[in-house]
Formats: sequence, C-alpha cells, structure tokens
Amino acid sequence: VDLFGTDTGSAIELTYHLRALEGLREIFMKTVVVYDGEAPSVWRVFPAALYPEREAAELLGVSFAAHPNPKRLLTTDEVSEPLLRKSVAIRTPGEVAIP
Amino acid sequence: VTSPPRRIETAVGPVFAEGAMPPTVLPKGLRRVPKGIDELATEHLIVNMGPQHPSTHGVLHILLELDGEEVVAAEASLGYLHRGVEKLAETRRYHQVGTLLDRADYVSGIHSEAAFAMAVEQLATIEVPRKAHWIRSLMMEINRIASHMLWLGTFGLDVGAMAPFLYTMREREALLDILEEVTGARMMFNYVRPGGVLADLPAGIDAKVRTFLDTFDGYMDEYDTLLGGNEIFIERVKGVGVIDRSTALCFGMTGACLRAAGVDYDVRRAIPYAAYPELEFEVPLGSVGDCWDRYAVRMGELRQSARLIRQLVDGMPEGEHTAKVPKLLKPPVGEAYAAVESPRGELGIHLVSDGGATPYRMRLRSPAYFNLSVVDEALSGGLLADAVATLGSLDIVLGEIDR
Repeated sequence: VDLFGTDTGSAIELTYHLRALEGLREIFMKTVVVYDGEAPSVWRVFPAALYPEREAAELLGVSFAAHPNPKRLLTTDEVSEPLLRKSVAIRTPGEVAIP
Repeated sequence: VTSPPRRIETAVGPVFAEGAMPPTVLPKGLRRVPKGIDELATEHLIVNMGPQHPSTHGVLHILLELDGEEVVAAEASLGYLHRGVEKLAETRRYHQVGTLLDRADYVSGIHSEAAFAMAVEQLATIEVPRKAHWIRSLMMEINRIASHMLWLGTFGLDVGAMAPFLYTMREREALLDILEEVTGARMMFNYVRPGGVLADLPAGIDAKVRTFLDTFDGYMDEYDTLLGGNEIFIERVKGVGVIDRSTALCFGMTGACLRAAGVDYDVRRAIPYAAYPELEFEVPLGSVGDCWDRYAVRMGELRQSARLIRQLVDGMPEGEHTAKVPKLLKPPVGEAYAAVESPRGELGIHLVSDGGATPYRMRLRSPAYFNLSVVDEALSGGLLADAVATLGSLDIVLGEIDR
C-alpha cells in the first residue's frame, strides 16, 4: 500500500497504490484534488496511509479530512511552502539567505 | 513539536509536584494524566528518545509516554534526515538519479538503484541483457548480506550483546571490499544503471566471493552460538514486540518484518525480477511476529542469500553487461512502478515521465517507512527496555525513511 501526490500543473493528483497479497492483485487509483483542497483520509481502511497522507499534506499542500494526527511528518514548521509543487523551485545554497 | 524538556528516567518515574514541571505544550495525541489522590500514583512521563539515542540507528526521534517503565504511547517524529530526494530527482537526468538513491538507503544502495533502473527500463522499453540481470542479482545479494550484517551487529548492541558487532563488521568489511572492487565504491555505488550495470565484473572476483562463502557458513554457526544460543539474548527477544499478521498487513509492512508474522510475501518470488526466476531459494517464515521471529527470519535469509550467491557465481553467463542506451534518455510519456526486495522489504520506485530528460515525479516507496509506521502499535504496552529491542528488530534506515 502506498499513496503519493503529483503536481500536474493545475491540481494535485493523488495516486493510491493498493495490492492484495492473495493472488497478487494490484491496482493504482488516481484522484485529483485542487490546490489546497481536501481529500478524505483512508486511514480507517488502510492504516498504512497514515504517514503518506501526512507527507502528502505537508509537501503538496492538500489536507486530509478526519486524519487523526494531521501534523507535519518530514519538514519543520519553518517550511511554509509545499515543497513538492512544481511552482517551488530548488534553491542552490548560495540563494538561501542564512539568518 | 514543542517537546517537554529532557529528563532522566528512573525505575518508577519521578513524581512531580504540581507546577514543578515547566509549562509545555504536549504534542497532539499524547496526554498528561493528572496526578491521582493516591500519593504513590505516578504521573505519566514523556521521554524523548533520540534523535541522539544510540539505539535509534540514526536520527529518529521517538516520543514515549511512560507510566513507570511501561510505554503507554509512542510517536515517531521523522524528518531529521529529509533531503528532498524526490524533489531533487525531478531536476536530475535519468542517468544521474542513481547517485541520489544511493544516499536514500545508504546501507543497501544497489537495491534502490536497481529498482530505479527497472522502472526506467519499463518506461523506455529497454531490453536488459541476461548477464546484466545476473550481475545485478549477485550485487543485490552481496549487498543484502552486508546490510543484514550491520543490522545483526547493531541489534546485538541494542539488546546488550557487544561481541557480535565486532564479528559482523569483519564480514561486512570483506563484503564491502568485494563491492568496492566491482563498483568502485564502498557504499555509494552508482553501479546499476538503466539498461544494465556500469562495468563488467573484474577478473578474479568470483574466487574472492567463493573464499568468502566458504568461511561464511562457519561464521553463521558462530552467530547462532553467540546470539541464537545465548540465554540472555533469547530472554530479551522472545515474545517481545509482537506484531501480528493483521497488524503487519494493515500498516503495509513488508520484508522480514512481515514474513516474521507468517505472511509468505517476498518480492523476489511474488513479482520476479532480474535473475531470480532462474534461481532456487527458500523464503524463511516466522509464526508469532516477535523480535525472535524477525531475528530468525533474517538469519534464514542470510543463509539463503549465501546459497543464491553461490548459484549466481557458478552460473554467471557470458555476454554484454549493458544494453545500448542513449546518453540522453528521454522515455515516452507514461508511468511505471518497479519493486525489488531490499533487505528491509519492498522497495518500489514509481516514475512519472512527461517525455522530458528528467523524471516528472519520482516516488520512492520506502519499506522502512511503512515498517516504522507500526511503532505506536508495537511499542505500546511493552517496557521501555523492550522498545529498544523492538526498534532494533525492525531494521530501520533513516536515510530511506526521511528521504
């Protein structure tokens, strides 16, 4: 089970990757969420989505309704931008202002 | 997260007078239980384990809520090693991404490189020569033993056995020498490339691998004596940190942690890749899903890896080590997912291509990330000392979790 988001340029596309081990059936499901939009959390069905949802929320700027612990997972509160969006450019060390 | 100040834990946990503790904002999900009427009742204590704790294998930070010595709740706080590998990959050409992935899972770089190469090959429909498949499998198995050796040594350290670490490093050193001779690097290989591998095996490497294998079985028996037959070790791991079948499946655990719970799922067998369809090996299974099972499954895997390496060295085919791949790779628009069985579980790379020279989106499905997400379930209800053993048995690599 995995979940991740992609910035398609106009919205966030969430890809759910599910696999049943019996018979090894595998599906990829996609859903589109507008920027800063909200998707339902699937954690009750797939607790494995708890971390990826938090990650997608902070890195792509979407939110998941009824997530039990909607905290940031990987980045600190000082990071204000959704880093995985295409509009956020990677800065070289020289461009980053050192406080 | 505004964490409470660090405190030294005692056997029963200190009793705080009202107002003695500085006012802190407790992280969500963790609650402070008010002191009861009974003077002997202990207040729940929140302990920060890590990010500098030796048994967190890197920079993992775990918030533990303790009632005396018992863990009531646990929450992992990640991200201390977040470098944005997925974002960086969007700015690198397909041939360059391997260097990033080496640094994602720095203990078993070959596996993540291979997963990426396989995903690119799917996207660009590149036919990989048979020999490249075999070299990849050989390197992956050598890397698996090297990784498991590091785990075995540190797991021993976690539960208080100092000696095995020194022995496992001896084996790891021999394996890293072999890896260095083949790939040119000890940890950051960048050896598996889309289309094949960087270079053919150097002459005489098979003799070195065989020399290692000849001694390895004896070493494995040594570990069985040092750890598996050690009463203290058994006491520390048997029945500790039980993660049962349904919990493991719910949280998307893979690898030895899932097989220890009795689920027969190994990517090498379920979705065969590289040379594995042509090889013979068994998948060791556990039954209970405690630390002992995870230990036993990995020990079984080590023996199976040695068996695989022997087959791979003996049957190494002749031919090209790489397909002809253009210097500037521009796969057609599409998506691909490829997975390998890394030492920690199913390591998958999901690639989205927009037809350009760099990936549009790369998702690294990191096995340890999902294995770690079970931490609250696994640690709650156990003792603090057992938390260390359980965490050690999960075999986490923070580079891969934080990416």
